Amino acid sequence: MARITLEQVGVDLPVLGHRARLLKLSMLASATGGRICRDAGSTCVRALEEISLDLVDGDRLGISGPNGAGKTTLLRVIAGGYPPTRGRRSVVGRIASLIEPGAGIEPEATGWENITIRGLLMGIRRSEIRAARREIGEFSGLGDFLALPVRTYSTGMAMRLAFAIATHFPAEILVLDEWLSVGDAEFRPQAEARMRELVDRTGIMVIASHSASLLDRECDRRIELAHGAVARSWRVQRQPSAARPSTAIA
Amino acid sequence: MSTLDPADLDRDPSDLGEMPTSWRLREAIADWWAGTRRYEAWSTLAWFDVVLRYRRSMLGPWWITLSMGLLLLGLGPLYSLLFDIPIRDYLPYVTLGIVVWSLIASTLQDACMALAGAGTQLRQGTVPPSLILWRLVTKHLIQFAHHAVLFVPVAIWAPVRPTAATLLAIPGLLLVVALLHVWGLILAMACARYRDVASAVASVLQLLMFLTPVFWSPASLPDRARLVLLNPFAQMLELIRSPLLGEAPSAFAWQITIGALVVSAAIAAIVSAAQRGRLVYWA
Repeated sequence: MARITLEQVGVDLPVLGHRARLLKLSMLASATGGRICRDAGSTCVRALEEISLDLVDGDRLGISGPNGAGKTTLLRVIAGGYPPTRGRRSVVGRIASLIEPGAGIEPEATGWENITIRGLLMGIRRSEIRAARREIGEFSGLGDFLALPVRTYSTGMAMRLAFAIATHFPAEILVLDEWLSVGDAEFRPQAEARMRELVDRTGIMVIASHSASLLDRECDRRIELAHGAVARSWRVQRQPSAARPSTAIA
Repeated sequence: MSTLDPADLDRDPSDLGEMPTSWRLREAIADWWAGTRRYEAWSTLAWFDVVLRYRRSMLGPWWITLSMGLLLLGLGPLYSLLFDIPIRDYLPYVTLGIVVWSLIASTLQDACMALAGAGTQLRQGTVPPSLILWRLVTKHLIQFAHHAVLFVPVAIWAPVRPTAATLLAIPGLLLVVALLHVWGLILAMACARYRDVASAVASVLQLLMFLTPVFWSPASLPDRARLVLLNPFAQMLELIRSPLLGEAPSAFAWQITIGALVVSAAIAAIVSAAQRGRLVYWA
């Protein structure tokens, strides 16, 4: 059973080596971003403050808020990339994080090799990767290009490969920064179907997006962040899966 | 809001806050183990590191072997005259000195930026620092294997006869690798926070190369200079070089290196426990 619990979680991002410059900057009131704080003489950005959440199987949490409100930071805390600097986080269940699907792609390595490299970094076993390679390669639709270095790919092709790898391995918890939609007219429906399947199969989904309609459609719980804190939190009546349109693009 | 006991979590309860030190220490060790046990990942990724780096070069890692070979051809005869040691004794000695020193120095230098430059990986939350350091040490070991080939023709020419003690080179190398991993981890964490450490390490390593018997033999040291041999680098070198030259390393070499490993592992654990949870924000 998957579960995510955050208790009074806060994240202060230390800003090293920028003290002098920030003294001037702090004069300007900012419309976006967390609060700039001074902690024992050093500067930091208070990216998240007092966030408490308890999510169990079946929960679909949508996070909204302006740029710099802390959406991605919160996703990273949930995915385990950012340890909270205050409060507690506990997560049960395997997490698939689609925050930066392209991270870790080696331009010098071939498509096939990148499947292995990326899979290993995600914590997948070699045997599992070996079993999945062909399927991932086929899904990407890159054909013979998979034997060429990724630096020969177009941006869109590299994204297709990253997407194919990142979405292949099922997980109990899915963390999304915006609804992923990649590819051309031909690939898009296929990617969309993959996303749909992934979302429907996962226990808990957490998604950050600027699209209110997307969040209302996909989520049953919503929070809005402002300056790193929860400004508003409410529940949404989610439509049953079948009634949702198949082309949901944020 | 229910509170979960950290003990029933199957992965990374990295919530620190005001947790007790013993708990943080346990967490740091669990995190180290989480990366260490993924040997498939770090060994394969290290292999890719070497392959990808040299893919478009014909000689690849052999270039450094070649340049070390040239260095030895020039320096070997000259220094054997300078130190008044027969060339057939000196060349095997200095070959191992240079090859092993380059493993130590290049690993430690490279370790400095291992975490500072790994922000993207650390932010994924699936790549513990220990995995990154094992990957780095393994990459340098693969390169070391390419350089160590130089010793084969030298040993045949000298000739150096293998003895029962030669096998001791294996535990010696393992101990050196463990030390490099732990020191690499400490340096990498220090460097993530204080970028100057990398430059400091570069200058200290240069000095240490002369203080370590890479080119010269400790036998030629006057008594009051023997303090130099307390330097663990000298003993790491001894641990690999002596067995390959057919002699068992001194008990002193084992004591110093094992002692250094215990002390540095303790330091690494304390530093990890103290800064874990912040590392990713510095990288």
